[in-house]
Amino acid sequence: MKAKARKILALLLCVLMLAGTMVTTVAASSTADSVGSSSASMDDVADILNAISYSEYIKKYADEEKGSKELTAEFLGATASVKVLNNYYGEDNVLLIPEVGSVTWKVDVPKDALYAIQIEYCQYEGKTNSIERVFYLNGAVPFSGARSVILSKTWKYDYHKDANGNETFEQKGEEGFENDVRPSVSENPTWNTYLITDSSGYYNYPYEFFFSKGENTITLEGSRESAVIKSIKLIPVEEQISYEDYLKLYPDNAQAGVIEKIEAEHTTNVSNVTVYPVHDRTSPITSGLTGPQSAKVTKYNTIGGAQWQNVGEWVEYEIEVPKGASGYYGIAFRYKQNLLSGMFVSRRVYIDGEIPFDEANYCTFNFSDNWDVKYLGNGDEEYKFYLSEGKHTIRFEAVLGDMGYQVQEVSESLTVINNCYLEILKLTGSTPDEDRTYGFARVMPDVIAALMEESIRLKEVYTYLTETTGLKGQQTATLQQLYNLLHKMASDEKEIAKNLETLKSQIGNLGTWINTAKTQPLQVDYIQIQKVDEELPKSDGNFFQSIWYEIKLFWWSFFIDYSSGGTDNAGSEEDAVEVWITTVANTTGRDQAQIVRNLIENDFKPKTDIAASVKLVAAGTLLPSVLAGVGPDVSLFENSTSIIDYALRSAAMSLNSFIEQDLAKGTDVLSWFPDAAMIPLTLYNYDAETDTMSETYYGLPDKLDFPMMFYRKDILTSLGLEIPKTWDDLLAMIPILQYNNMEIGIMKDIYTFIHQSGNTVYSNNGMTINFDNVGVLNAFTKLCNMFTQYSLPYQYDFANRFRTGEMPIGIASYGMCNQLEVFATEISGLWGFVPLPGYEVVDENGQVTINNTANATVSGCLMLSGCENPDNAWEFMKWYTGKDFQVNYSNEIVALMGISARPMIANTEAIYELPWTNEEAQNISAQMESLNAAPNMPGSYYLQRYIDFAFLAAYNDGADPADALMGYVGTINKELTRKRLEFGMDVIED
Amino acid sequence: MANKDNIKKAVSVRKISKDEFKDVYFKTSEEIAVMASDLNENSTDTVAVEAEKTGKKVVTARKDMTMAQWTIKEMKRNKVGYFMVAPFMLVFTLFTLFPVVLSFALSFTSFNMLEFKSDMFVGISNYTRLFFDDDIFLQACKNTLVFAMVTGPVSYILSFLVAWFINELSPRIRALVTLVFYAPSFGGNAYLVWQTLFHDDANGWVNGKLIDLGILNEPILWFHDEKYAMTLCIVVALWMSLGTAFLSFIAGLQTMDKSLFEAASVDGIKNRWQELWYITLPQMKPQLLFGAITAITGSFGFGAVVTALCGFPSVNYSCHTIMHCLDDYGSTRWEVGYASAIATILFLIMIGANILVQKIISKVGQ
Repeated sequence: MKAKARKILALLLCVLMLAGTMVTTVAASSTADSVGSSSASMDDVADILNAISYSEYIKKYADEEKGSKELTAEFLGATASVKVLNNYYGEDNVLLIPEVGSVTWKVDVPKDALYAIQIEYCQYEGKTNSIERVFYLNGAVPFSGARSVILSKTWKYDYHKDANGNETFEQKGEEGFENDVRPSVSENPTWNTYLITDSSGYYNYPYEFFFSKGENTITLEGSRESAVIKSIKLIPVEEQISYEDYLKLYPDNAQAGVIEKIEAEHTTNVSNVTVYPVHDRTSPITSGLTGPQSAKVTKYNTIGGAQWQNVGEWVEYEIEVPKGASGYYGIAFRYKQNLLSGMFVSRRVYIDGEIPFDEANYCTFNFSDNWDVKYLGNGDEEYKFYLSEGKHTIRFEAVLGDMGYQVQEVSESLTVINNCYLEILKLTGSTPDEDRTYGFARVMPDVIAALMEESIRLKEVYTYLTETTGLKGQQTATLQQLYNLLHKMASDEKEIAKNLETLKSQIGNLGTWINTAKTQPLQVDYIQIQKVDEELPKSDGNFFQSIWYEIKLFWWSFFIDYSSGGTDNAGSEEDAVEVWITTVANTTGRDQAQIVRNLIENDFKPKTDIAASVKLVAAGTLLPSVLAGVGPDVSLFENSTSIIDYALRSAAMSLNSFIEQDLAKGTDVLSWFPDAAMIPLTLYNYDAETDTMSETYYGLPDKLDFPMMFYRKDILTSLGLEIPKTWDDLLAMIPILQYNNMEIGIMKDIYTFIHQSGNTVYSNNGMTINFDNVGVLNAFTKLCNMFTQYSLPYQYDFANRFRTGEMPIGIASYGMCNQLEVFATEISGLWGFVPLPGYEVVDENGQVTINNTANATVSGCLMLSGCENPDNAWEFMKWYTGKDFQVNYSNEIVALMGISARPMIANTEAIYELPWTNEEAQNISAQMESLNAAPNMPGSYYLQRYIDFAFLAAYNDGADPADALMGYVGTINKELTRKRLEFGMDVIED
Repeated sequence: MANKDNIKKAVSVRKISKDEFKDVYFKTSEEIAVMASDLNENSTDTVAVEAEKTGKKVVTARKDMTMAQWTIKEMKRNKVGYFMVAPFMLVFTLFTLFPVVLSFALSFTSFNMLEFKSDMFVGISNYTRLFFDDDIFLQACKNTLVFAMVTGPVSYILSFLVAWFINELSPRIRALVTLVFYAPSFGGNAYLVWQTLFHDDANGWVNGKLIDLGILNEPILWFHDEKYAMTLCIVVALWMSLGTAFLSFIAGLQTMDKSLFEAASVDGIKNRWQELWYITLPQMKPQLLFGAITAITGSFGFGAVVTALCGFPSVNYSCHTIMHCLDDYGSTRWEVGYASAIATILFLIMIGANILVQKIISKVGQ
C-alpha cells in the first residue's frame, strides 16, 4: 500500500517537474541570446536535474531478458581529436581519447536485452585526477548515475631501495631522529577491464543497460583526463557464485603457518594519490616498513584511515603462494576503524582482477577505538579465499556495501525534502509568521503528502540501521529527529511555519549524514595470509608494553621539536635561500610549510642545485625582523598592500632587472599570470619632469582571488529563470525572486563596477583619486541603488542562505565553492558558478559586448632587501610561482586536507591541472581573462574607508551616493598627496 | 633608647590620635637617623663591632652626608630588598619604561617603521600637526573624552553599587551572583554577543524581532550607523565594566571592621547612606583607588572592543578613539613618529586623569 502511494506520488512529482521544465523551455527560448559559451543553458541543467535514477531505470526494464553472448562495439566517430596508438604498454591499435570532446561506438544487438558494459582501458599520463566520462546510450544519458563513469588510474609509490635491494622508506633527519620520508608517487599505466558501476557506490553490482534490437550507439563524453581505450564490450550479466559453492570448487592443500605477511603501507599499486601511508603512534606494536614502532621518530607504519575512505579507492598487493600449497586461506587484517562511530565500513576483494564470490563484494570492518586483528569476513562469518601456487595480486576496494541502498534512500529523500522546503519557502519566506494561517493543505497538498512519505521512508532506513546492524548513536539520531519532525509537520499544518527553521537545519544535518555515511575510512597496519585454523597474532601490546611505550613517548616529548615539522633540508649551507611562510589561521600553517619543504627537497633542489630552507613564522614577525635586519630572503603569501609598503620604504627588492634578464633568455615570467595580478604588486611612479610613468615590480603573485556568480540550478529552473549575463538581467530577476521570498546577494565591491564601466580608480597618473569622474560616480550610484532601491541585503551569510535557497543567486569570492563543496553537501550538484554579469558595451561597429571584468585581489611573494644571494632567491621565486610547483602544491594540499583546501592560484596555466572539474576550470579561466585590479598607490588604504562611509551614508541616511562620494574626494586627495610627499614622489600642483 | 621604646609603644597601639601620631613620627630628620641606626644595631652587630675596631664612626647623622652618600648608604643597608625587586625592575625597565621613553623620543621624528634616515628629526611638527591639522584626531579626542566621561564614572559607580548590594546577600548566593556579574569580563570575547544581538543582517536578533513586530521594514545597521554606533558601544562598555574593580570592591566590603558600624550607630549615624559615606568608603580607599585606575585605563583603552563591533575605522569615525588613531597611524600608515606623538598625548591624558582621580578619592568621607 505504502509503496503504491509512493509510486503515485513520485509520478505526480514527475509530472509537476516536467511542467516546470516546459515553462523553463518556453522562458528560455524567449531569452535565448546567450553571450559567451562557458555556461550550459538552463535547459541542459533542467535535463540533468530531472534525470531518473538507476533504480527507476532498472525497474522499467525489469522484465527484459538478459543478454546471451558477448558483443564488441566498433568505433564510429568522434568530435574529439582521437589518435590511434600502437605498442602502447603492450597493446596495438588502441584509441587515445582526449579530455575534451566525445567519442562514439556502435554495436549491433541481435534482440532486445540487458547488458553490462565492459571497458578495457589504460591511463594516459596527465593530472592526478581519475578519468571521468559521461556515458550516452543512443545519444541520451540513460539515467543520472551514467553521468559520471569513473575509471581509476594506477599509481605506484617510488620506494627507496635499501642495501639489499628491498623496498623501504627513506629515512632522514638528525642522527638518532631519522624520520621516514613519504615516497613520491608516479603513474603506473596498466591495462584494466572495468564494468561500468555506480561511481557513488549505491549499487554494488555493475549497471545493466537496455539495448533494443538493431544498431545502438555508445558515446563517452570527456569530463576529466585523457584515456586510452582498447575495447568496449557488451557483457551478459551473470550471477556471481555464492561463498558456499565457492568452497566446493577447488581441492584444499593449504599449508600451515603464515605464508605471507605484508606491511600494508608497502603497496604494489594504489588507485589515487590521496591513498598514502600514515603515521600511527597510538599502539606500541604497530610495525612499519622501517622497523618496529618508535616513540622517537615518525614512522609511516600504516596506510589509510581518512586517507582511504572514498568509494572506489583501492590498494593492491602482490603475494606469492609457495609451490604445492594451493588452497583456501584466510586473509587477516590488523586494522582500526575509529572514525565512523557506531558504523561499519566495507571493502571489496579482487584476486587477480576477479571478485572470487558474491560475498567478497562487501567484507565488513566494525567500529572500534582500538586496533583489532581479524580475518576478512562479514561480521559473522570468516571467509577463506582460494589461492593457487605462484604470484597473485590482491586488491581491496572501498565500497559502500550494505550501506549503499540505505544511503541512496536517504539521499533521494533529501532531494524531495529539499524541494518541499523550497516550495514552502516560496510561500512563507525564511522567517514565517507562526501565527498566520497559510493554508498549506489547500495551497500545496502534494508537498504535505511528500513530507509524510519521506518521514516514512526515513523511518524505514532508521529501523533497518538500528535493528539489522544494531547501530544506534549520533548517526542514527539525525534520521530519527528528522522523521519525527516531518511527521509532525505533515500531520498538523500549524506546525509547518513553526518548525521551518528547524527543518532547515535538519536538512543540513541530513546532508552531513550522507557525506559521513558515504566515507569508508579504514586504517591498516599489516595483512597476513594464513590457514584459517591458525592462531591470530595479538591485536595490541599488553599492559606493560603500553605503559612503557607511553613513558618513552613522554620522555621523548622533551627532545623532539614537533613544530619544526621534520627535517630542515637546508642545513647550514651558506647560499641557502631563506624562505618564510607566515601563519594565517585556516589558510597557511604547518601542513603548507611541510609541503613546500618536501617540494623543495624533491623538485627545486635537484632542478636548480640551490638549497632553500623554509621557516613557519607567526603573523606579525616579518616586520620587526626586517627592521632588525634578520629577515628572510623571500617571504611567501604576503598581502599585496604590505609588499608595496615594504617597497616604498626600500625594504623590498625591485624585480625588474630579473624579469628583463629572463625575458632576454626567452622566459616571460609575467606571461604566467593574468595582467591584473601584477598590478597590485607594482609600484607606479610618475615623473612630472619627463612625463613618464615608471613601473617597478616588487612581487610575483601566488594567490589570486576574485568574485564570481554562484547560482542554484534547481531554483532557477523551477522559476524559469536564465543565468543573468548583465546587471540589467540580474535586476530584472529581483521582482520574481522577491515574489517567491528569495533574494540576491551582491558584494559591495565598487572596484568591479569601476572596472566594468571602463574607468580607472586613480586620475592624473595616480596622483589623485578619480572619484570625481562622472563614470565612476555613476558606477557607484548604480551599486548603491541596488541596495537602496532594490533592497538587496547589506549583510548576510552567503553560504548559509545559498544552501537554504533563500539566496539562489549571489556574487562571492570564487573560493566560496570550496566551502560549499563540503559545507552544503545536501545541494551538491545543484549549483554552479559562472563569470560575473557585466555592463553592455557598444563598440564602434555597433557590436554589443559585455564587459564583465572582476576586481582581483592578490597575495604574493617578495624578495627582501637584505637578501644575500638575489639570483638564487629569484630562481626560487620563479620556481615557486611556476606551473609545476603550483600544480604539485595544490594536489598535495588537496590530498592532505580535502577538496575544500583547493588553493586559488594565480598561475593561469596551472588552473586546468588543478582538481577542478572541466566546467569549473573553464568558468574560472573565463573570468580570469577579464580581470582588473586597483593599483596600490601610497595612501591607497584611505580609499576603502571613505567608499564605505559614502556607501553607508547613502544606505543609512538616504544621502545621494554621488554627492556623498564626491564630498570625500578632497580628503582622499590630501592624504594621497601627503603620502606621496613622504616618499619623495611628484604631486599634482594646485 | 627612650625614642625606640616610644615607637614600639606607638606601634603596638592600634588606634592613635592625630596628635599622638605626630608626636611619635614627626621627629626631625636628625632624630630619625639616630633612631634608624639604633634600630639597626641589633641586626648589624658584627658590622658595627668591626667598624668600631677600625675606629670609624659608626653612626653618621644625615646632616653630615650629601644626598648621594645618604642614598647609597640606604641602598646598601636595604640591599636584600633591592636584590629582590631587581628582576621585576629589570623587565619593567626594559619592556615598559624604555619603550615609553623611546616612543617619546620617536615622537619628534618622522620614522617610517623601516628606514632610519638622517633627516628624520622633525622637531615638534608632529605635535603641531596633531593639534592643528588633524580633524580626525580632534574628533577622536572628543569621542574618547565622551566615552571616558560616561563609561568611567558610570561604570565605577555601577560597580560599587552592585558590589554593595551583593554584599548584603548570604555568602552562597553572593558567590553565585558575583559570578553572574563578573562573567562578561572573564568570558574573553563575550562582547561579541552584542554583535549577534545587534547584527546588521535582517535575521539578527533585534532586527529580526523589530521586523517581525512590524516596526522596521529594512534592517538597521546598528554598529554601522552613525546614529547608533557610539551609544551601543557605551552600553557594551558599561555591560563589561563589572570587572576587576567590581571584584576588588566586594573584597573590600568583606574586610570591613564590623565593630566600627556599632560604634558609629552609637555615635549617631542616621541611615545607610551616612554609614556608607563615613565608614564604609573611607575604609575602602585602597580598593576605590584601584577600581578607579582600572576604570580609567579601561575606558581609554576600549579600542579593541569597538573595532570588533564597528569595524575599523568605525563609520565616519563616529567611534574613533585616540586608541584607534594610534592604531591607524602605527599599523596602517606606518608613520611611527606621528603615532608616538599620539601615544605620548594619550599617556599624559591618562596620567592626568589618574592624578585627578586620586585627588577626588582622598576627599571621600570628608
